[in-house]
Amino acid sequence: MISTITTTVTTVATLTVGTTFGLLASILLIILLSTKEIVIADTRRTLTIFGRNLDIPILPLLITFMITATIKILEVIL
Amino acid sequence: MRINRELLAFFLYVIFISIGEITVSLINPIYGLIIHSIILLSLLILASLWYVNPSSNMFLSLSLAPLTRILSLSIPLTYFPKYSWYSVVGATVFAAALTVIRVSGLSLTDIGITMRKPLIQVGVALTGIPFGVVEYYILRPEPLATNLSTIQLILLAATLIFFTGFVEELVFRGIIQPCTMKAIGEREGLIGVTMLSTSLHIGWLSIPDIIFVFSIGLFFAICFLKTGSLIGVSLSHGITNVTLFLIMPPYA
Repeated sequence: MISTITTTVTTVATLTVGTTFGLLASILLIILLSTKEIVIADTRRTLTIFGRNLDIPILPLLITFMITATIKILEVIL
Repeated sequence: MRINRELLAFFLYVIFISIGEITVSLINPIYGLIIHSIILLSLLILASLWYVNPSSNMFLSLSLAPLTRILSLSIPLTYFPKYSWYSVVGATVFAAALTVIRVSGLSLTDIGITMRKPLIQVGVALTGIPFGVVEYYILRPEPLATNLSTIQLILLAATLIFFTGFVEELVFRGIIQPCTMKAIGEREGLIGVTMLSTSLHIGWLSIPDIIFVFSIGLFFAICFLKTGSLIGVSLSHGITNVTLFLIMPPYA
């Protein structure tokens, strides 16, 4: 089911499980985005830094989300 | 006392990430993804709590390891042709790496974007050929693509060199290694980061490959430490994968 190709590339062979991963990643993205909104409203140094650190997973997960969304839209259209 | 606490935290995270990888490969990839997500969040929280400590950058850089696995699992790669997987995943990992560089305030010299000792870099780059041949006989992977024209082969090789060579070396040797060595010490950092990069190869389920990847990782780590440049090790890593996936399968 799981296939490691190089250090970075690991994928699953079945589309059903792949969709579950996309869903989990979207949930993680929502959690990160809402946490960022909450923590940047506070002026405490630790929280400000935490808000900035959250950019690290948010940016690539947004790209992932856009890729997944585009594929799903194309799947419906085509 | 502070050093001991950081060292302990680092090796605990290497163990946690290895557990995540074992879960992805052997138990259930969905649980593995959840474990990596928890590790990622805890690393970001620790980096924020210890922001006055040099280990803050170490935790930030370490977050790239679980994030790499989360990204590679959550992109629906099966919709893409196999030869494009590296660029799709690599682009997202590259974006994450650039964000870590910006947030951590690392300079281009810190991450090894410099052409120091060019002759040694060429020598290090050429080690990729024997490494690829040896790894082929360990793993015997399927060819990455068949019936490609020469131009397509060259493009695919360039993609492999950039996205598996440069991006992976940027993450492990360029970002995680210097941040970790600054926080826990040179020798511990070298061995620890090599263990970390090796742990992401658990998915091959091959003990000889784990030993081989650890040895190469240690060689790359020492080369980067001695030369301060990422160029040679990136090319060597890329050439290893080109030999492993493109050159060896049709001819061996």
